[in-house]
Amino acid sequence: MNQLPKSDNEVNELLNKLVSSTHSPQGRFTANKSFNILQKKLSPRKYIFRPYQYISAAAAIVLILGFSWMFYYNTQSVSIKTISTLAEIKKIKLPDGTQVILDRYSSIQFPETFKEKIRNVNLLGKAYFEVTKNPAKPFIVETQSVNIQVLGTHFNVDAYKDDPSVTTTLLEGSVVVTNKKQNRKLILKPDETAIYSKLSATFTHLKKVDAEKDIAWSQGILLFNSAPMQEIALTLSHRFNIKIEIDDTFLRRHKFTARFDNQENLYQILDLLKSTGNFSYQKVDNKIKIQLKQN
Amino acid sequence: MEKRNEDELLTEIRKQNSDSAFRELYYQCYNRFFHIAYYYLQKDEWAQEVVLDVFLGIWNNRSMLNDVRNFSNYSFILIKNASMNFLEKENKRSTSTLDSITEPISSISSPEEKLIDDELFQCYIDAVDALPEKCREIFLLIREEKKSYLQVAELFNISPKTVDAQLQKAVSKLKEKINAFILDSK
Repeated sequence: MNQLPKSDNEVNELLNKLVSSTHSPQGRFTANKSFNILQKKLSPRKYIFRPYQYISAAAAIVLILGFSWMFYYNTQSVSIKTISTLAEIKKIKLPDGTQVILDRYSSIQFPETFKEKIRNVNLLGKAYFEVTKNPAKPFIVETQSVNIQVLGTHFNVDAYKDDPSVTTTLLEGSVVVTNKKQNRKLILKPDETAIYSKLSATFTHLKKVDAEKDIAWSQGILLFNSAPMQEIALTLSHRFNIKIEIDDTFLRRHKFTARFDNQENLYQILDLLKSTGNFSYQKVDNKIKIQLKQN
Repeated sequence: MEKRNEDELLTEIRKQNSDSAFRELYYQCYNRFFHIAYYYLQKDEWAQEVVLDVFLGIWNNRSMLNDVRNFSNYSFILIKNASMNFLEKENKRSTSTLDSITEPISSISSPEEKLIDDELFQCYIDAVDALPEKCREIFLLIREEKKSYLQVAELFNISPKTVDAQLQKAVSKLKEKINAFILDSK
């Protein structure tokens, strides 16, 4: 390696090398000039405001964006969104602010924006609606067999595919329920229910119902107020997505009053009912069969 | 402007979020930082970018500055690493655009040699930094920027003789430190 001590010449040479290995910032690279860049980096949103330049640039951008948005809005067909549930309850906000609570194994279809003169949604299954008021744009819930027209109101629709009926219960406001053929029509007031029978194609109008009971499901609660076993079986079959068959006519009409919450599963519920209802059940091929107890 | 202790400034930045202290630190350290970055990058634009990023990092991570024992050493490493990262990115970009697989091999010296170079360079930078302000400026103007004694004398409104005296003082101090470094590293 190097000899010791270094001669003065060698050190001088080393110093020269070091001096030329780098240099001080000059021109636009000086501390002063660079400080502006640093400030911009430190606060990206701060900028020097030169009114005319920026205003005209901004105006141009706004115009371009505006035109392209109009073009897009008018040419684009609105895409339809579908939201479905399995074993859960979902809260959904529609583009107009309407709140929907969708029950288990249900699905709802709506456009990404309500461009048409009517706010139209499609429902399969059960849902509770709190419709945002907009008299200029009626809100219509379409199910397989009935349409429900609204002007800002709270109501519950029960329209599962295989059910023999569609039930609409109104909590607030007013709705008009019509069947698809438009030959039958019912106007509901709060705490009234319209049950449309798919078989007979007629409406049953129930007054002074306990509407809160009909939306207990949205809190995950099952409420049965002297309900026939058949109705309970139907509700359970929706909640747990399983077919339930009852073999006995007497049993189908047997009435129960009960309340279950979110925690209880199908078997816990059936076990509880079984103890008072004098029946037994068994699971056969993804079906629950309920029979009168043999004794 | 009187040079303030950097640790003091750092404490102020960290504890009071003081942007005036940060600005002071910036002006105090910018040239030194630039020297270091340019040594690694050999390009003004790159050196500027790296130095500003390092300052940005110091400000953004000011809450962690209390771990810094020796700012001069710490900042040297900071800039060195930032420069290396920058080079790596640049290399990747240029090799991916397929225009240069040229120089790197020749510019990379043996690790030991490189290490000594870096350390010697750091010694030099620290020595320059330790010079009195006027002395340092005169040294850099004449040796780096190749300005004449007369130009510098006019600039500072002093006689060329004084310029020479200051320059000699700077050179002898720097040589002294270089010598000491060489002795030390033996």
